[in-house]
Amino acid sequence: MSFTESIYGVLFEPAATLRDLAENKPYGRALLIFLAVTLLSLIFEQALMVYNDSETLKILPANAVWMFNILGALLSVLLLLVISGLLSLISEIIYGKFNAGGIMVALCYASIPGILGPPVHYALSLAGVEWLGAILALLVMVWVLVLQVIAVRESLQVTTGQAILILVLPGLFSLILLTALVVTVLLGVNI
Amino acid sequence: MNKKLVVGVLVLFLAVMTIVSLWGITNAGGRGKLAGGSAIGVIEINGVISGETGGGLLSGYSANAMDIMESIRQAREREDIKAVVLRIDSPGGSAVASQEIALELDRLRQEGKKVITSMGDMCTSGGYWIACSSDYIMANGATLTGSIGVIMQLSNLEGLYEKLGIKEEVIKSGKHKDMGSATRTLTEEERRLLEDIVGDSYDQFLDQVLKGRSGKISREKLLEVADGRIISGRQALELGLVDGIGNYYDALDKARETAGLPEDSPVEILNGIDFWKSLGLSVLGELSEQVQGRFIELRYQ
Repeated sequence: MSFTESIYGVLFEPAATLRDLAENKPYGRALLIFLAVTLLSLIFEQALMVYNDSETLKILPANAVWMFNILGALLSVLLLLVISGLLSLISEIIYGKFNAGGIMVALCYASIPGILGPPVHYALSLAGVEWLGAILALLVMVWVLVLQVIAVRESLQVTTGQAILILVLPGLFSLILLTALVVTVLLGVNI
Repeated sequence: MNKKLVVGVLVLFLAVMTIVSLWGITNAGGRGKLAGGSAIGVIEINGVISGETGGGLLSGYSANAMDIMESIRQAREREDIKAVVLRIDSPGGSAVASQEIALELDRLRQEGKKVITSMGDMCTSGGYWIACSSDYIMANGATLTGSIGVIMQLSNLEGLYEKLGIKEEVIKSGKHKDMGSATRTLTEEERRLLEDIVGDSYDQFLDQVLKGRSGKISREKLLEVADGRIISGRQALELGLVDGIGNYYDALDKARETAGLPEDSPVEILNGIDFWKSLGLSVLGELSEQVQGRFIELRYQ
């Protein structure tokens, strides 16, 4: 599958494209796309912050903002690897199906529409219709979430419901842990 | 639908938006944005005043003289900037860097633009030197200011070198060429020469304060407190080293008042974000400079 076909496919024929990518696993290209999406989003987000005269930029030293951004971008790559492995592990435990590499590649490609949100938001802000930009950015986020479900579904060959469960479980588990921790602290129990 | 066309349009859109975004970030200061109107420019001087060029990831809390002077020049050149508020929160720093900034401020004032200083937590030594080149100084009651004096600190590592078995061989064209060397104790003559330099710089500092605070403090009164001591903003007001007590917004109001600007005149931070410098490409160079150190540097701190 060529670069053009894969980009077009993720946007307009996501299921078939992500299934194909999860099978063939073009790791290098997938990571490159993920990095490009992350770094470009970073620039667009920064431009939006500047445009909105964000308080964050005033509170933090200028260099610190970029240091956090770059660290965040690097961490997101690390997180992608961890999440891919974790989702594959969960799937293996529950459904006996695993494909960490495929999930990683599919998730990288699923992030592609995410590159559209911030620039559209920024462009519409410049055009004076920021509210519309915010709504469209939100819709893009939903689009990416849907693509992530499809990515997991096609990589592991599970149903949509099962894919949602696999995606939700790590968050749910973290939430339970956090709640337990907060409750423990509030009750003053020593651990 | 042609797949290549769709992807091409997408890539083109992203490329255009990347350029627009980078332009927006790089011009965060909004150079010329308010052309035609009247605005107050704010120049922030935070941290140790330094003359070193290049700002990397580690330079978040240092005040680079080159950047500050560039902002002052920008304020001078822009017609829409009618007054400048200097927000100083600095313990001082390089003597030369402080002088350079003060000189640029004097030139700005010669153009007829008003300069108001707003002191933050600390505005001592080199920071106060700079403040003296403004038309009005506003401090908070608890601001630490003063510290009028000059300091030169030399490291004598002779004992350490001896323990490490390091012996420096010096070939010099004159007897004072290695004056201030870290490998030996200062001679009496060298000490006297350096004391003369410190004394001369101190006199320059006194002149700067007397020029900036002309009619507000006498030389005799100044000499009583110009012994390096720090004082509070309130004490400074009683002594005549500052003009008023108030916060940043009071300083903005004062700037509007002195420049005859309306109450709602916009405020623009002139030395905000520098996108390219903040990428921190000069980190290694800075670290190297810090490791090597500089043995002789006059500091107002």
